[in-house]
Amino acid sequence: MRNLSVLQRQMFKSPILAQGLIKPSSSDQKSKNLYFSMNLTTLIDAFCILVIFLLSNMNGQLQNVNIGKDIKLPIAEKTEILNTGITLRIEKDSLYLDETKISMEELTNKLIQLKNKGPKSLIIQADKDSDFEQLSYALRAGSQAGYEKYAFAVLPGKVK
Amino acid sequence: MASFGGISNKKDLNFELNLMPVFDILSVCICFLLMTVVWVEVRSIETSQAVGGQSLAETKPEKSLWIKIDDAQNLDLSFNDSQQKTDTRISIKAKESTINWKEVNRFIMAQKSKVSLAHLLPSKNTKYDEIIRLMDLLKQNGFQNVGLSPI
Repeated sequence: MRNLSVLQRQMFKSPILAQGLIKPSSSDQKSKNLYFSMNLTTLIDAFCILVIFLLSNMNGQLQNVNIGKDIKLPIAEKTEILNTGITLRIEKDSLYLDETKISMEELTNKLIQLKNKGPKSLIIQADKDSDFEQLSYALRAGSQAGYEKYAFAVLPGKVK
Repeated sequence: MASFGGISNKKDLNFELNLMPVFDILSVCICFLLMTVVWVEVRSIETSQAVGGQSLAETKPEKSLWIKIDDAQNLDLSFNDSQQKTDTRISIKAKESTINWKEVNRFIMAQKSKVSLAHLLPSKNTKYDEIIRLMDLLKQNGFQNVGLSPI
């Protein structure tokens, strides 16, 4: 077993090869080796390309935002990376603060509570066809709670 | 002579690299990246809000553009100085009951790098999409600070 390579040493331990040794084919027939060596180099090449592609696709987004089913976000060209913050989702007749449904009345108090815990940015998600009246409540509540930054969630793209 | 497979008495120049650990690392890496990848990229348009009091004397005198949108989607654009005195006032009438984007675009492009502060005053029935489009247009044309006033 001396002077054997790593792969050759593994070959001896391989169950497929062992089966081949236990059940040797008869002398009449041509012996078939059950062991085959797979060339991993091409597979590793493909994997490397995949890893590079996935790494280059990482956009540095710090917060993963769940977009509501009924929400179509507006499109904008000059956008910034979405930083961490408290997410406020405005749907047709309901408000969701960090995925928790809340009423209009308790919005300001909840925002004050959450602001004391850390983030000073308020991420607002609303449907592109919603009226400013709905959005205005959120802006007013945010300013009452003392938020300094509003981030309006948008999809990057070119406006037609 | 170098032989393939390593069975030789002479010192081999060729050696076999065990690729299995590399393969394992790459597999784990791919699984991790696939799990953390963001398929729908969401970005943001940011506005800042002044919190707390700053006296008028401390405020840096800066010219600003005020854009008021009325219920009929007409735009009223005015330039104000720090004392809230209006310099110029321009009105852009709505076209087919929507904002006349062609005219607005032309006007904002003409103000490029002249003013960096803008305030939006939409009406209650202005669509969110139109507000974002206007903010985007302002940011594209060098308005670094765009404010949005609630009703």
